[in-house]
Amino acid sequence: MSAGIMQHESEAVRIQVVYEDQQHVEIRAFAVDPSITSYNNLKFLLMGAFKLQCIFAITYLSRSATSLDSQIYLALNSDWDLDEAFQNASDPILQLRVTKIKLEDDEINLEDDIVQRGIPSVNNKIVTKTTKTKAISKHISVPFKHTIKNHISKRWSRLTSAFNDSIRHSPVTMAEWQAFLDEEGQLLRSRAEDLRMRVFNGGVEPNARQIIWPHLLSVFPAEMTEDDRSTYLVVKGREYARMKLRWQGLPPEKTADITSMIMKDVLRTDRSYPYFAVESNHPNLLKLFNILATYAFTYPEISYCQGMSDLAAPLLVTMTDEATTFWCFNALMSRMKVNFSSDGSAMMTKFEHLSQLLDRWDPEFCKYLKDCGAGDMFFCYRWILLDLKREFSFNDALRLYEIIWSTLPHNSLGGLPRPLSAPRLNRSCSNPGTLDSKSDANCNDNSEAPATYYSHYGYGSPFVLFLCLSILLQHRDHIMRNQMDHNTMAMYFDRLVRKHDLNKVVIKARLLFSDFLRTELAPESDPETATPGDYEGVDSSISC
Amino acid sequence: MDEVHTTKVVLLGRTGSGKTSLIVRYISSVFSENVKPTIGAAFSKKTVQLIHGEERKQVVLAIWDTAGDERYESMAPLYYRNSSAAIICFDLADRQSYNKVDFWVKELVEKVEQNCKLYICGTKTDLLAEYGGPLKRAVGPTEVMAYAKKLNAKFVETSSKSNYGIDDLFKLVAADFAGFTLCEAPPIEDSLRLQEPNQTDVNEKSSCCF
Repeated sequence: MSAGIMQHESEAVRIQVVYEDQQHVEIRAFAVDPSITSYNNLKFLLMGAFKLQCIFAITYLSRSATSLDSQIYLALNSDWDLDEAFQNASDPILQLRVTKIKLEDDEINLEDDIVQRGIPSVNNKIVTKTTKTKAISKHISVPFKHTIKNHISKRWSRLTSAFNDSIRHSPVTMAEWQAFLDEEGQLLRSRAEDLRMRVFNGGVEPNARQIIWPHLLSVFPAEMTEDDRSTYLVVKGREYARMKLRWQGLPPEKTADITSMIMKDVLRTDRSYPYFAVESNHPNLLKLFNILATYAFTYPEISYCQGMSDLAAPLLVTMTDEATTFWCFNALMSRMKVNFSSDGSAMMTKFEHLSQLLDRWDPEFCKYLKDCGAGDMFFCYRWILLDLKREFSFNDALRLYEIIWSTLPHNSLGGLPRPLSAPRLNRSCSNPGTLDSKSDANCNDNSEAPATYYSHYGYGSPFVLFLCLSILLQHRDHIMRNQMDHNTMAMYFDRLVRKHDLNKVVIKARLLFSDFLRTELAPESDPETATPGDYEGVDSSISC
Repeated sequence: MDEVHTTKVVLLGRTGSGKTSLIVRYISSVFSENVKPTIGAAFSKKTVQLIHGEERKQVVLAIWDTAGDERYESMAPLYYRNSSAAIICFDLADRQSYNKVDFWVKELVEKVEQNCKLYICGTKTDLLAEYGGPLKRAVGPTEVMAYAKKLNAKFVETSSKSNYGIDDLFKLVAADFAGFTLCEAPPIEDSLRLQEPNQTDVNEKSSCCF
C-alpha cells in the first residue's frame, strides 16, 4: 500500500460499517489487518459486503474531534486517509459510513474505474462484469455526455490530487528544492510558504537538509540569490570566527566555569549517534563545544544551560560546518531561549497552554491529570524544553525538527507577533487531516495559503504543543486504565523515550492542529451548530 | 504479608555529580559513561525488603532524580517536597561539586518542614588514585565526615562504574525510614539481612550491617 511508511501497532482493526440508501440501512462488522489492507482492498470488501454496484462515498467517524463536535465523519479517499483512520479512529472500533452518491449517470460502474486504475486483484467475475459495464457506459455516454464529461474531469482531478498527495507526503528532494528557486537561485517570497507547507507534510530528504534547513530557520534574509547566500555565509563565517576569538582570548579562570560545564555536557550529548561516537578529543565534539561556548559568551544573559547541547547536536550533524551551524543554532535559539530563562515563566506559560489545549480536546483526561496532581504538566518538561527532541530517535528528531520549523513564519523565530491570516488549509493542498469545507481549491494557486501561523499559544510556536497533545492523547487510555499517578506517569513516559512512532505522533498532531486552526481562525463557523457534512468537504463525495 | 511502606527520596547535587548514574546503576544494574544531562526530573521506584529477626518490612523507594543545572534549581522544591530522605551527591574529585552540597543542605533545612534525613554521597570513587584511578580526592574524608556529623547526616562513598556502595546506600535509606535498629557494633553476620525482591537473584541474600 502506498502508505506503507506507517506502522500499525494492532494486528487487527475492528470495523463497523453503516450503509444507507433511500430504501434501507445495513450494518456490517468485520476485522481487517491494517498492515495489509489498502484503500482499494477496503473498497472491494465494502463492494462485496453490500453488493455495491453504484458510486459510493466512504467516511469514518473521527475520534479526535468528538469532544469538540459531536460525530464528525471525515472523508476516506485514499491510503493516506485509511492510515489515519486506522491510527486515530480505530479504537475501540473504526466506524465507517458508506453512502451512495446520487449522480444522473448512476449506471456508471465501480469496476470501470478500478480497471482503469489498474488494480491487480480483480477476479474473473468482476472482469466479466467490467466488460459489460464498459459497454454500458459507452452506451449511456451519448445521452449523458455532459455529466460524464464532468464526472471524468472530476475523477481526473481526484486522481491527480491523489498522485500529488503521495508526492506531497514524501520528503522534499534536492530536485524539488531547485523548483522553488528562480533562475538566480532566489527563493521567492511566494514560494517560501509553499516550501514550508511541503516540509510540514513530508519533511526534507536527508541530503537536502544542509541546503534547506538554513531557510527553514530563517538564517538568510529573505530574497537572496544563490550568490548572495554564498557571500553571506562567508561574511557570517568571519563574524563567527571573531566572536569565537573574543572568548578564547579571555583568561581561562574567567571562562572555566562555563566551559567546563559545556564540555561535561558535550561529552554526554548523543554520544551513541555515529557523528558523536568518537574519541573525546575528536573535532566533531570540539565543534559542538565551540558553538555552545561562543553562544554562551556572546549572550552572557542567556549563557549556557543544560539542554542546549541537545538542540545544537542535530544542527551540527546536518550542517557539519561549524560557523554555519552556529548561525543556525543562533536562529533556533532566538525562539528557544525563552525556555532557558531562569524565572521559568515561558515554560510555565507553555505548560498552561498545553493544559488548556488538553482540556479542550479531552476534558476527561485533563481532569484526571489534575486529580492525580499532574495538572501542572511538569511531567512534560523535557518535551517542551527541547521541542521533544529526546523523545524520539535521533534520526526521527531531525525530521521532527524540520516539521516544527516549517510551521514557523520566516524571520519570526523570535516569537514576534505576526498578523493572523486565515488559513487556506485543505485536504489536497495542505495535509490529510485538515477539515475545510471550502476545499477542492486548485493547489497551484494557493501561494498565499500560509503553512505558518502565529499564535500566542506556545510562545508563538503552537505546533509543538500539538505534538505533545498528540502523545498525551495516544496514551491517555492506558494511563487512565492503569490508574497511573503522577510518579508512575513520569516513569511511563521516560520508558517511552526514543520509542514513540514519529509518523503516528505527527499525523495526529497535524489533525489536531488543523482542527484548532479551523476553530481559532474561523469564528464565524460555530462548531456547535455545524453538521458533519460541513466538514466533509467536497472530497467526501468520491466516485470510485 | 510483609508491611509495605513507601518513601520519597530525592537526589540533589551539582551537574555531573553522578546522580543519574547512581540511579541507573541501582535500578538497572548498568553503567554508561555518557548518561545524558537530566532535564526536568526523572522518577524511578524500587522495593527493598528488610528482614531483621522475625520482623519483615518492605520499603518502596520512590526516587526523584533532579537536574543539576543551576538554571533548573527553581524546579527542585517540586521534587524534594514531602521527601523523607535526600541524597546529596558530589564528585569526590571535584571541589566545586562538594561546595554545592552546602547549598542543598541549607535549602532543605530551610524549606522542608518534615523530618528529611540527609545522606551525603561522594561519587566516582573509581576515579580516585587510591582506587587505582587517575584523580586526586578534592576533599578529604575527615572533612566530609565532620561536616556530616554536624548535620546529623550520613556520609557514604560510591562508584556507579564499579558498583561500589550503591545497594548499601539505598538499603540504608530504606532501613532508616523503616526504623530498623542499626547496629553500631562490628558487623554481626545476619543481624540485619537486607534483600531486594523482584531481582533475578532473589534468593541470594545479601547481608550487611551499618
